[in-house]
Amino acid sequence: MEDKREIEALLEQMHLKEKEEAMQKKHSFWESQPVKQFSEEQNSETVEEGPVQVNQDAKGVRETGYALPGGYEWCDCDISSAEGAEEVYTLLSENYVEDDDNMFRFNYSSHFLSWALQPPGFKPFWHVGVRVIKSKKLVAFISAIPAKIRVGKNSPKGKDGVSMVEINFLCVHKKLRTKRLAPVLIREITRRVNLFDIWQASYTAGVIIPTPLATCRYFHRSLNPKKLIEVGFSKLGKRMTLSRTIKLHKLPQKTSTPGLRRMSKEDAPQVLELLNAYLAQFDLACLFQSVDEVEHWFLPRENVIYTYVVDAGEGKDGKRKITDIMSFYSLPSTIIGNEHHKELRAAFSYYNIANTASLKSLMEDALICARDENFDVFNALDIMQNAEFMKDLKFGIGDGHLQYYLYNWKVKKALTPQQVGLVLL
Amino acid sequence: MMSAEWARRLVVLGAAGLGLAGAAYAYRHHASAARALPERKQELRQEEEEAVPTEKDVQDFEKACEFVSSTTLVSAGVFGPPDLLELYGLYKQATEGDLNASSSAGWAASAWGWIKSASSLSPREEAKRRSWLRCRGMSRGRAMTMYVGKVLARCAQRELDFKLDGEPEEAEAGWVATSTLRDAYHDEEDGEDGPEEETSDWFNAVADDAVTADAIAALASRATAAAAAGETTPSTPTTTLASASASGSPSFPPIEEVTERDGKLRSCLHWAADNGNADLVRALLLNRADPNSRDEDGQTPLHYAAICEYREIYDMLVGAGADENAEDGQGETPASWVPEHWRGGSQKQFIGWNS
Repeated sequence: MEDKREIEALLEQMHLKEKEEAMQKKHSFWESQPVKQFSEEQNSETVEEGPVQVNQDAKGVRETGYALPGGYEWCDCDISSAEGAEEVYTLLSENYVEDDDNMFRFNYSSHFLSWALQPPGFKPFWHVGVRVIKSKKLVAFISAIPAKIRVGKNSPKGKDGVSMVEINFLCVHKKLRTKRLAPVLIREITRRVNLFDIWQASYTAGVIIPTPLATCRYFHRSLNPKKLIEVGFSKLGKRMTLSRTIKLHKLPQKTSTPGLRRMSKEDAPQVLELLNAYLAQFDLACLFQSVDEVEHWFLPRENVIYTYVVDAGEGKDGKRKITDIMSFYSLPSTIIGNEHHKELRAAFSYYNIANTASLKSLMEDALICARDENFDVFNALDIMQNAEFMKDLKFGIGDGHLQYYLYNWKVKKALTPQQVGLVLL
Repeated sequence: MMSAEWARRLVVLGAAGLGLAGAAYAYRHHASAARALPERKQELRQEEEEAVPTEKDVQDFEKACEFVSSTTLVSAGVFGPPDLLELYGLYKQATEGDLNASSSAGWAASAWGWIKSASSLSPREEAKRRSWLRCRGMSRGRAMTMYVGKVLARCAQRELDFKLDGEPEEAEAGWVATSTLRDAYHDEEDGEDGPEEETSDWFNAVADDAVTADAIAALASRATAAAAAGETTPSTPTTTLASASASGSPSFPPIEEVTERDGKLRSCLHWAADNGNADLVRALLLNRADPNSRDEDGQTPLHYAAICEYREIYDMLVGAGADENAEDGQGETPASWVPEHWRGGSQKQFIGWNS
């Protein structure tokens, strides 16, 4: 047990070291951007909370796109068409993030992308692509979607929510990684967002750049340990049997929460209320704006988003009453170079609200539902109240961190994972 | 670490002011810092003056070229017109060698001829040609290193983050975090390093699934030979077995070790089943390993095969007499673990000493 604690301490040190190294490195691009700088971490009391640049006018934003290297041009990607979504899907699936050992590569499905990129208020203008002029091949992508985000529940400027965008799916073709396209993509998406009088953004990344708002950790619950071992996602300890591992991770046949069922369209107004009431306790959280938005983000879609509600039956007013919510989204990875397995099916915890059930039993049901949908592993960050159930439900600690960032907004002090109530896809 | 980096920057920075010679020095300094060439080798290298570019020189050169072409378009002002002109000359020299012999001979022949030929070009083209001409006689390798040196020096001056050996910009690969399980699966009570075991080398090899195919074949043939000889128990290892074990695999087990157990009462057959090693399971069964032996939880090798969904092994064990309805400590039977999709047509055939 003591050893374990020592190892934990060592790993925390390693992460601190990683951060220290990142802080010493020169970030020529990020130092030119309106973000909190590493140098401001030391004397954060002097940092003024709120926008870095104020009183900006959309009329002053440059009207033409930033210059690209010769032979490349900007484009708006049309995600609403099957071909457009497929094109972005192909770019991402071939070039998106891999783990350190290059065993897995995220493989967002085209259905997932059309969900993630087209919530109410989306703009094709914010689905920015770079093409080779000659061949029209798509070689880079970045996106923004609108969202209202609360920053600091006691912050005068941030507590009622800031209209901003969520930046995601930044991807540069592998062969163009030396062209330093990413900074141009970031500048261009910033310009295109600024044109609509929006000046803040939130984004997450595995890497440490100036300056994380919160540092969170991934946890993984094995649903199919045999496959996870075969593909190298996990391994057996010394003198540990596979049969014992499978037995340890075996889940009950059926869910236990009475009234648990898939969410339907009629539930959306109540889900909206439940979400906003629950998320009020977090310092960084999404403020859902409309029933439409909730319908978009939560109504179940095969292989994309799975949402379940606890239906307490008809109330006195004759309406069905929804009390609890549990949801996860599907984000598979391509398994690189394995003869038997092509895809790792991972479910990612989304928003969970336990009012009548205990969070632990609601999440056990989430695991059961995910298993029944043939997922191999269930992933969750240590954000919101998630740390409460991880040990009991046999989540194992992951080797990856997720950093949360804000663009053109500073806060005095970094948030703990428990203060974060925002999930970015 | 840090101070060395800064020292390099300062040297490179100073060298930047010295024009081409300085640039070459900056590059060499970078090269020696990055590659830590032994001193003697470096001296040799300087003597040869990079006449023939190495693969690394070419790689660095290409990286620097790409950097220049993208930087000039992306964030203006890193390389001014004089820089670009100089780089152009070096680039041409590095990629094509001396400026076309006939025309350059003409230029050298008479000033008039030069003015005449140049007058047909735009001032811009003329300046480019002159820059190229200035590199005349320089080896390609040297032109490459000069080019890279020039880029490095300028970047150091402008505090730009261009590294030849560096990783790509952190944002380039995308922002999503990846994560896999950090710790190996283990029993809470044992910890990650597993329980202390005092089992034989042979047993350890079986548990770690490290028994060679030769040893498995030898184990199988020993049993078959014994059966053919009509013995009730197989004999001790023969010479062929000894030779199979000599090739690095653990010494062959005397027959009593087929019955060896570890601290959790697991037998070789349990481990072979858990590892999904069908050949070893077959060989152990031929040597009369007990298919109904129980571990400390009351589980048989057949429980393991069912839980792990190894169908071939499951069928083999059943064929050898394993009990599908043996209850473990929790009252669970192997049959209760058999997955749905196996039902209907399990082949219970086993060809071995008892068939």
